[in-house]
Amino acid sequence: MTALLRKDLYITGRQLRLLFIVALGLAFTPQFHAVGTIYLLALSMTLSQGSIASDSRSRWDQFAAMLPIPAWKIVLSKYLITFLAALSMGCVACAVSYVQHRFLDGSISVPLTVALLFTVLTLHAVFLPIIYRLGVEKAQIILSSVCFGGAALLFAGLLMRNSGVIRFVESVVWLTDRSAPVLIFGSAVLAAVSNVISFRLSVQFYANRRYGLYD
Amino acid sequence: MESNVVEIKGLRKRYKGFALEDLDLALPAGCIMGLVGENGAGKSTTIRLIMDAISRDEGKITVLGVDNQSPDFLRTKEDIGVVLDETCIPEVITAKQLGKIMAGTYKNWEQDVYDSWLEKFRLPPDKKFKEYSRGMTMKLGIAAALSHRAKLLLLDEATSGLDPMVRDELLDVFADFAVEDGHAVLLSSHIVSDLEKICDYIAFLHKGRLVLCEEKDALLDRYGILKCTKEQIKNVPSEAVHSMRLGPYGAEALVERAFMPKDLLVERATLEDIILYLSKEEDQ
Repeated sequence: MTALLRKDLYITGRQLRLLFIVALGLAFTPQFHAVGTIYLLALSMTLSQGSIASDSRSRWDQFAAMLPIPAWKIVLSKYLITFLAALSMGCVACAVSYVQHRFLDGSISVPLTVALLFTVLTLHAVFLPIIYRLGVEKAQIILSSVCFGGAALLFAGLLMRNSGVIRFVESVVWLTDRSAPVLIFGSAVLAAVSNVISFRLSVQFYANRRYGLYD
Repeated sequence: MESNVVEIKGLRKRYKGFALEDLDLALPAGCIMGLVGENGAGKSTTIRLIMDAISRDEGKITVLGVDNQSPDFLRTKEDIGVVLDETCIPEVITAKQLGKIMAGTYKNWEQDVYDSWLEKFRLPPDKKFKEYSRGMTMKLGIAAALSHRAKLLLLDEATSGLDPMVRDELLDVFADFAVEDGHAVLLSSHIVSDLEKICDYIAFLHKGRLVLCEEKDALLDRYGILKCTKEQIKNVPSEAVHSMRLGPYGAEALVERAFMPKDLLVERATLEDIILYLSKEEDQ
C-alpha cells in the first residue's frame, strides 16, 4: 500500500504544491476568503482524480495488472490518498478559517469548514465510482459539466435576491452557528457511509474495466 | 520429466474484428520461447492472458504450476517479471523512485540488484522517465523485472524499436537469465532474427491462430529453401512444398527436407524464411 501511495505522491506532489499555494493566496485575498477555503478543501479531491488520470495516460493500470497487487488495494490507495490529503488540507483550511473569521471578517467559520470538508469527501465518494465506470475522459467531461452547472446555478441564485439559494446558504450558516455539532456529525456520517458504498462500487468497476469487460 | 513453466490449453479470446483461437502452448523450464507473428497476430493478448490481466472466453492457463485464475496466482506473480511493449511508467517518475515503488510491491525485491542493473545499463537514477529514450525505457523495465528473483520473464516486444547494439546487449541478458535453474523466458517479437539468436522454442502466431510451436533447431532442420527452375519444381512431391515464389528465371520454395528427392540441393532456411513462407501459405 505504501508503494502505491508513494507513487501517487510522486505523480501529484508537484501539482498539489502549486495548487496549494494558489488556494492559500486566494484564502488571504479580500473578497476571495470563502473561495480560497473551499478551494483548499477541494484540492484533496483533485489529488486522486489527478492520479487516476495519470495512471490512465501512462497505462500504469495495464502494468499494475501484472504486479502482485490486488485490484482492491489499488482502489483503496486512491481513497487513502484523498483522506490523507483531506486531513492535511482540512487542518490548513481550519487554521485559515479561524484567522479569517477572527481577524479578517471572513464568513466561513471553523465548524462550517469541517462540515464542508466532509461534504467534499462525500462528493469524492460520488465521483470516484463514476470515473472508474466511465473512464477518466468521459467522467471528467460529465463531472466538469455538473460542477460548472452547479456553480453557475449557485452564482445565479446568489445574484437573484429572492431565490431560495440565499436563504439556503443563510440557513446553513445559521445552523452552523447554533448547532455546529449536529451539522458536523451529520456530514461526517454521510461522508463515511457514502465512502464505504463508493469503495465497494469502485473496486468492482475498476476490476471490470482493467479486465476489459467494458471494452 | 521436464516441467512446464507455462501451459496453455484451448485458449480463446474474441474481440471485435480479432480472435485468438484454440491456443495450446507449453513453455518448459530452462527454455526461451519466442512468440513470433505479425503486428496484431495476438502476441500481446497472449501475454496479457497469461497474466490474467484480461478476460478470456475459454481455456486454461497454468503458470509455475498455478492456475492463473485461482486466488494463489497473486502470490505467483511475485515470481514473474513482465516487460510490456510500452513500459507504462508515469512520466514524472525517476528510476530511483521506481525502485522505491517496486520495493514496496515485491516481497523479494533486491535493491542492490536493481541498482547494479541501473549501473550496467547506464541509466541515470534521477532522470525523469519522460526524458528517457526508447532504449532506456525498455532497459528500465527489464531492470525492474530482473530485480525481484523472478523465475519467469514475460517480454512483450522488449527489443522492438531498439538499435542492434542495445538489442544484442538485452538478448545476452535474457540468455543469461534462462541459464539459471528453473528459469524460463517467453519473448514476443516480430524481429525474427532476435528470436533465432536466443530461442530454444518458436511459437508462430498468425492472425490469432498458432501455426506452429516447435524446437527451433528441429524447425531449422525440417525446412529448407529450394532454388531451382520452374521445370524442376514440378517434379518435387507436393507434400514437400509449403509455399513458393515463381520468378522470371526460376522458382524458390520452402520445402520439407524429409520429402525431398536427393538430387535437388536444398539450402538452409533462416527462421525468417520459414515464418514468411508459412504465413504466405496460411494466407493462401
